[in-house]
Amino acid sequence: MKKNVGILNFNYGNIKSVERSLSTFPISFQLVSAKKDLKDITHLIIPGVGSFKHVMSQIKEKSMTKPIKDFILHKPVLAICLGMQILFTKSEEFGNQKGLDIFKGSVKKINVNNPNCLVPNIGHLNVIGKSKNKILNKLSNKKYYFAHSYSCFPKKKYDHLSFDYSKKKYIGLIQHKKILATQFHPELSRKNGLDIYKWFLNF
Amino acid sequence: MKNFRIIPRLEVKTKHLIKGIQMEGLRKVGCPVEFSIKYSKEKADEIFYDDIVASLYDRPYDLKMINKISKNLDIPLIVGGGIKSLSTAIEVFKNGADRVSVNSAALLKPSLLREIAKIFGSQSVAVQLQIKKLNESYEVFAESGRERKNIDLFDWIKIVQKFGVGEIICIFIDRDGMEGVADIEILKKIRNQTKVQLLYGGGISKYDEIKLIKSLGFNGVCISTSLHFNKMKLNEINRDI
Repeated sequence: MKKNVGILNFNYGNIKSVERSLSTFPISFQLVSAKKDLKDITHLIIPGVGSFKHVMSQIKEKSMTKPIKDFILHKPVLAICLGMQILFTKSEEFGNQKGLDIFKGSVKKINVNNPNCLVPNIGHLNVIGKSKNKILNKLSNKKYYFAHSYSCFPKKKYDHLSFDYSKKKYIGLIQHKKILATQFHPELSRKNGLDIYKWFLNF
Repeated sequence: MKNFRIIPRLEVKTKHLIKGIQMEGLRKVGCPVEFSIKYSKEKADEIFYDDIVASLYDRPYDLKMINKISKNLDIPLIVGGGIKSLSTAIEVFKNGADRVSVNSAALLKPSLLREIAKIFGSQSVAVQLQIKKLNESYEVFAESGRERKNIDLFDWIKIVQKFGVGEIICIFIDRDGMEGVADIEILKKIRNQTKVQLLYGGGISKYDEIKLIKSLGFNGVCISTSLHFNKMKLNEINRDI
């Protein structure tokens, strides 16, 4: 079956940059802003560059909560930065907000236990960690581009890689079932980022 | 240079990459698309596209140009100059920006910063400060340094943080296009009062100056003249200091 990637589009995000990365692969892609758009999609990307409250309220307004959750159960999803955060139970960004609750845990400001750390974190940082998960080992010890004020704090143990910021460890990437969730932006991470897309598209 | 960003700043006027001295006497340097490709290949951390007349002449935004630049990058694109409203910001993001930088419009209406942050997140909103020393105090200017606003630099730094920006880009007008960076004491004071990401721009022409700015706790530098005219090379900037 020909791969057709959907990019969630709710008037936020850096969709052009995601499209640019996708256009280097022999696949087709389209924007997704309603339930019917999910029908022909083999893979879904939830882009970053947004605020939790805005994106969750758009998802609710368009009655997309259940369709997205159903899609995630069966097909591959790449969730980038904020896209990863909305998969969690809740977030503290602009007041307490409920997420899609696919990952158990919460999203909090990165300086929550560390008042000296600068918010946001922006730049190309090394992602580190070892895992039994072969894919994660391949993606580890490489630089990726981060731009975020909030970070994910899972309650359950998921296969993941981390990164160091202000002498603390944070979740850099989670791989769980058919989900690849990255706190960083693969589309802004030079060749290392394209390797993430390549892996995702072969899922 | 761990997590310290080297950012070529491309000032653009009607499709041309230009450069002036102290934001005046602009001369054409080349094509912004070609320069951004070159800098991205040379491992710049981000590209800062700064339309220096969109705001001044109230021109419609050159979205095609942003689109063209974005298409050829594999690093983030900051777009600034002429972001006068939330709807301009939305259009600019749609056409390839990964972050926006606001100056003149924020000086008129600081709440614009929060409006953008509410949709795109604080990390996607930067504010550019065009800084000039007048007598003994520092002030921020609008419209590429042309318009005095009688706003004290440190008052403004407080305000923009209150309105939720994630990054402050300090451009020192008197150092723009010159050789040599701003006074260290003022830079220390700015760092002290800033809890968000902080970039410096103006007069960088030596590798040691980058080291100095980094040692003061800044998170990155914007460089234009020295890169455009090959006085410095991106791949010769030692990233390990």
